[in-house]
Amino acid sequence: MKSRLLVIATFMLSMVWAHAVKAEELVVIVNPDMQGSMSHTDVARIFLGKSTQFPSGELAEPLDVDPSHPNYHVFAREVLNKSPSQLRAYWAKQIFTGRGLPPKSAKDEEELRTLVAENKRYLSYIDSAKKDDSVRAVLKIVD
Amino acid sequence: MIKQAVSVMRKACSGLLSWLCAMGGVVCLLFSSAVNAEVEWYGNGFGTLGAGVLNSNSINEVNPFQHNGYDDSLQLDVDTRLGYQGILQLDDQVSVTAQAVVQSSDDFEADLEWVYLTYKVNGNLFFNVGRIRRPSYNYSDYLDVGYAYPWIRPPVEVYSRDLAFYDQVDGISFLYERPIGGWISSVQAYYGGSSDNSEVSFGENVDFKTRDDRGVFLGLENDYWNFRLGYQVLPSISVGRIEQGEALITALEGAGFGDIGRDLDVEDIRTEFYEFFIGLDINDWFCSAEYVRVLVSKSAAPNDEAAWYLTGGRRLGPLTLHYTYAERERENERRFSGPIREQASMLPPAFAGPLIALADAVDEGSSLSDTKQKSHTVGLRYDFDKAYALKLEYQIISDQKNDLTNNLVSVAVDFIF
Repeated sequence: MKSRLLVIATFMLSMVWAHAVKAEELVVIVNPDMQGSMSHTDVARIFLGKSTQFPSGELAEPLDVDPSHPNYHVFAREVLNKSPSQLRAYWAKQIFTGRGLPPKSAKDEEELRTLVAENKRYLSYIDSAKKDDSVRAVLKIVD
Repeated sequence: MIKQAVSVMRKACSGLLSWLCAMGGVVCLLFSSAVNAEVEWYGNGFGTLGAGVLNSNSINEVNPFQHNGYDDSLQLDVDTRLGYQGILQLDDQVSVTAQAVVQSSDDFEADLEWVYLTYKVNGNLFFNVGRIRRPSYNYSDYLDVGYAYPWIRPPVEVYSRDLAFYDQVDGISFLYERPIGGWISSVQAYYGGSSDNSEVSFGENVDFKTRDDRGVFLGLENDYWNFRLGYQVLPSISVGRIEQGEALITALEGAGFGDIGRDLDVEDIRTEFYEFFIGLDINDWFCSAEYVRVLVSKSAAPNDEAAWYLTGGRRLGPLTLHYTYAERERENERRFSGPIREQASMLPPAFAGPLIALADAVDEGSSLSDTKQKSHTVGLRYDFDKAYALKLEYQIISDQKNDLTNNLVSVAVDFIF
């Protein structure tokens, strides 16, 4: 009886966990050496090329996930406040006015995490489930 | 005609060559001082394939500036263009940007839109030196990149060629951006001059020169709002003499009436340009308005021109639906033939005749360019692929001066690569 309850409880917990993952909670990550937290606006400014510095004043460089990745859409909508087509039009404008280039991107979250863990300049975003101690979360983004 | 074309081509090529040599020299210099830095090259392109047709060509006959020449047969060569931009990033602070555009309405002649060197002092302060685009309007910097805005072309009432004068300027500019609370403020300014060869109403190409041009532009934006305020002054525009004028002026000078001859010279025209833009973008709704005023003084044919538009729309996934109202009014203060007629009475009839005829021709030309026009446009943009947008527009154009109405249907595909 007890074991059956445990099975049900585990099952329910896993459902909750699965649901949490489905909600695609993203975290904005920086190198563990970087201090302080960041607001949506701080992060958006760096990803849109309007700022090249962390709030602390240190140099910041954004790393994006490939546009084919689902996280790209979530981040664009929740943080940059833009649809993918709006974001492309925005970058077309920035590029052809000589103001800036879109962030460099990596294919998967593991690569992003590794890059951020290795370089203090980098700022990126990954699934909260993929975050480990090699990086520090500065902002949570709930879909 | 061919001779003229060859000479223009030669001029264009030599101009391009001297520019490239100068830029090349700068690049080499920078390369030698930055051999250790990682030099990166970025290339990006954009283009538009556009077609349109008016229901009759009466508007076109009246105002040749409209739509760069749409008429009542399907035209592919008005909005169609292809552009390419290269950025050579020499190090963290220095880059060279060049953009060339081939316009079908320009007989597919490649036009070097800009070539400039950027020096990034820090993340907030940039200096540009070289051939830059005059940032007269909110969309000036990316006027050719249809992909970056919802319309097929920004409202021609405001973004007309004769309003913008010369889009390129050789000089220096800076851009300073600074966050203030949730806002980003910016100051942009330029100083320089330009020279060009354009067709005037006499059907003849004439050299234009401007010097000591300067402008300052203030911007303020946040996630939703966008404001822009601009002021430019081109204190000294000189227009080369056309052949008929030249002959007449020489003759007048020879006869000891040099003063009258100099009155006919189109030199040191002063033009002031004011611009204001306001935009709001909230969730999937957006609206914006832009107003420009151009005052031409110290000219034989001074004029006062004002134009504005109001646009609004909504995004629904990959679709953008928009509506625009635009208006333009230009009045020439006809003060040209008056003084000439007075002075001509003192001249021998052999001079007075052609002089009065020329003055009248200039007046006729400027009265033809008197304009009062408004238009309504409804349009649809469909982002059907990640680098392509299909656009459809229907426009009702009313020429109120001549009491004419015309409808324009246009379709375009914008792309980036």
